[in-house]
Amino acid sequence: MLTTADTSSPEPFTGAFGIIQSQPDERTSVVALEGELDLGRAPSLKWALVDSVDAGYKQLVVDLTRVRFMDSTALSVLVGVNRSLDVGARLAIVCVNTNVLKIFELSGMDGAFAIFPTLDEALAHVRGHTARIG
Amino acid sequence: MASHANRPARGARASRRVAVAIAAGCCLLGLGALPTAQAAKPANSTSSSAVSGEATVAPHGKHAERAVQAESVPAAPAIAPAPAPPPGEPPAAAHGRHGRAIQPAPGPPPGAGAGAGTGPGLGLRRLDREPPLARGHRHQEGAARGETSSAPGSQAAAVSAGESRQGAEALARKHKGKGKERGGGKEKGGKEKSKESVSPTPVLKIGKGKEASTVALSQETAGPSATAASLSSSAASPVAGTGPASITSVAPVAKAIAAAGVHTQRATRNARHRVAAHAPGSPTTVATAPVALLAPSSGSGAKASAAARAAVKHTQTSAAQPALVKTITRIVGVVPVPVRILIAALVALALALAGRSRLSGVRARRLARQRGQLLEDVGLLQAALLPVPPARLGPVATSVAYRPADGPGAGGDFYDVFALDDGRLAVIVGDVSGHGREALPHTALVRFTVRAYLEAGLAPRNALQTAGSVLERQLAGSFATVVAAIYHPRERTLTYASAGHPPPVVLGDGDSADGEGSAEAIELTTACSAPPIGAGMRTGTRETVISVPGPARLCFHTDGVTEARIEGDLFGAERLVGALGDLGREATARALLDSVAERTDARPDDMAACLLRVENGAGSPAIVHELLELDRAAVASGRAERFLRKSGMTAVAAAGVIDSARAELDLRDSALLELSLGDGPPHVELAHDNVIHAAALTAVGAR
Repeated sequence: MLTTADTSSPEPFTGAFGIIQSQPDERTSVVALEGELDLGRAPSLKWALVDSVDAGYKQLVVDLTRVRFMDSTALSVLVGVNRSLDVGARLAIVCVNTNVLKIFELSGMDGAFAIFPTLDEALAHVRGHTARIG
Repeated sequence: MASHANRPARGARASRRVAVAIAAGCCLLGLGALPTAQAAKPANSTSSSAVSGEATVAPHGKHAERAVQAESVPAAPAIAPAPAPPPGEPPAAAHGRHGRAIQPAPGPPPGAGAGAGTGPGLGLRRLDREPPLARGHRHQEGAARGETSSAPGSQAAAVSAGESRQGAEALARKHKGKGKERGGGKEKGGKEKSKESVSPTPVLKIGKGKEASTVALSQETAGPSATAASLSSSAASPVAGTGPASITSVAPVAKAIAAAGVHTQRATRNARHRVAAHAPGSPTTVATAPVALLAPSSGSGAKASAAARAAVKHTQTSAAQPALVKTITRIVGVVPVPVRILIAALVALALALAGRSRLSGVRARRLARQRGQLLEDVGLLQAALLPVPPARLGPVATSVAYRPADGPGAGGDFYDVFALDDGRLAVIVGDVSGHGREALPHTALVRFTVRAYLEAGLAPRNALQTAGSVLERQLAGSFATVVAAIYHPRERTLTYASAGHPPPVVLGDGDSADGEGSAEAIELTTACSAPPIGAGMRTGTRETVISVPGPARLCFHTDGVTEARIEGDLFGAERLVGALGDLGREATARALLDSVAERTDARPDDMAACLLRVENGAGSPAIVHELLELDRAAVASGRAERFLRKSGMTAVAAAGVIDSARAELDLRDSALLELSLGDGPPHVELAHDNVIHAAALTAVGAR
């Protein structure tokens, strides 16, 4: 299980932030984020997702359950990754925080992502779709 | 770049300057050292019979050396150096301004001194005595007289023009009518000289006017009839017209020298040495030169009765300078050598540092200039992206403001406020993803594209939709959130459409009759917002019409405002409404952003705001119309239903609308949902015509 933690903060005013990557199976990569996902942390998210894609994972889950808020920069990272996915790959987002959901809604991107309240639902989604397509 | 090329050249120039300065400083100190060294000698010379012949120095060392040679060669007759006027020339021709030139006797008298012709008045004078000019004149004439009257073979006196207080005077006395009994006269003169030579500063100085002059005065006495005074002088005097370097050296005859013995030779050596040392001196060098001494000894060859010593300072500079040089010489004279070296080193260091600081000063000025130009350019670019609209467009007061981010997020925000036909007013506020320099081209592209469609007459939704399909390729991966709005002053409606951008804050300011109405923001539905331009999805799918019957404020902003941090949280739209309420009606966008900046702890993104103030009328703003383009995904995901419920429809009514929409979407890719919100329950219609044209909104609304 590959685990990376990013506690170095380019902007000290934002609190702690962490990224935990896990691979429940050989096709699935889960990136769990914690803290505040903003301009300073968006690159960490980007590289975690890009690494997963490059490593050949087709089923990606971004777990935002423990993210307190997210800004437009992080959103643009998700949009970029979502658009660059190969055929057959699938991205799902786990999110219950209303602040974060509001960002998705406000930006009109809630229709672009498959957003689920729980990790299990998200995993079922990415696996189900991947199985069907693949 | 030229400036880069210049840099080394400048450095070289500066270092050269420093080097020259150091050299000059060292010269000055070195010169100061010589006279003192010489000053010590006269004491010896008086006690011993030594001819403490002090060196003769001339800038034109050649001539001086010749004079010295003449001394040392016993058999040498009169010597006149090449540039000197021929011996036969009448003395008048060589007259200086003050001094009178001395010419040797026309014939080749054995032992006769060669006359020295000087251009300008050359003077020998003691430093601490004055006035040199008159005296010099007199003395010289005296000397000349003495010279002419001197018997051949007896003595030689070479006097250079100028003022001579000692040498010339002594010679004059000596020779005055004393061709026959020179011994006594000489001794007398010699005594006088020796008396004077003991005086503290027995330095003779030459220099008059701007001419370079050198005097080499040397006198030797050997035997009763041996007095040799050699005074060589060279003068470069454009004024006097005797040529740039008219030199005449008077060489004493030589008989004397044989008797001078060792001392003479020593003196000669000394003199030569000095001459050699100073010979390279060019006329441009400001130099103080020690001068030959007259060291007559008594006629019988006994003790030297006197040693006249003269240090002649040579200067080529203006008349004012000798005073300066004199002062410096005096000061330097009392400073011990190690201290002098130390001072020289310090001076050199100071000069080097001064040069350095000047260099860095020049560089700093250049950098400041370049920075100013850059800032100017950036300012111009920014002004192009962030225009300053007139304070009032028709009945609406407008203000805009922009505040760059604290951190690296600067760039990307843009806004525009401009008038359309029919008195309408258009507003564009947007934010391009990515920041800084990379975002700038896209920022300009999006802003002007959207503006063009609005000016062409498209409704905000259609303008964004068209711009979205056009810009999708050009944005190359990055995307832009934009809100476009048109305010219609006659109808008092605001029509806006958003592409992934926060909706405006619409704040009713109460009835204008009340004056102080409670500021209240209307809640705008964010469900089913259209995605940003460039996100790879169809945008311009929603449009909202708000009626503004009474005084109100319409605040368009970027997400930098709502995403500013306050106590670890986002500032948010609610706090923004609060800030607007606190600021009051007259507040400008600038005041708003300042207020937000004051309240928040950190602002990681740019903040831009555009504030419209609608006046007069009565009533609170309200949403009157919603237009939503639905696709199957929106219906399937439940977003459409959420939107309908948020818009005030009952669950049953919403479900009915969704069913209709599904049926419609079975036939085509999209369905247009029109929601009319009035006093009663919302009225929903599904439109089939989704063709974009300039009057799309009006046509749909009329149905």
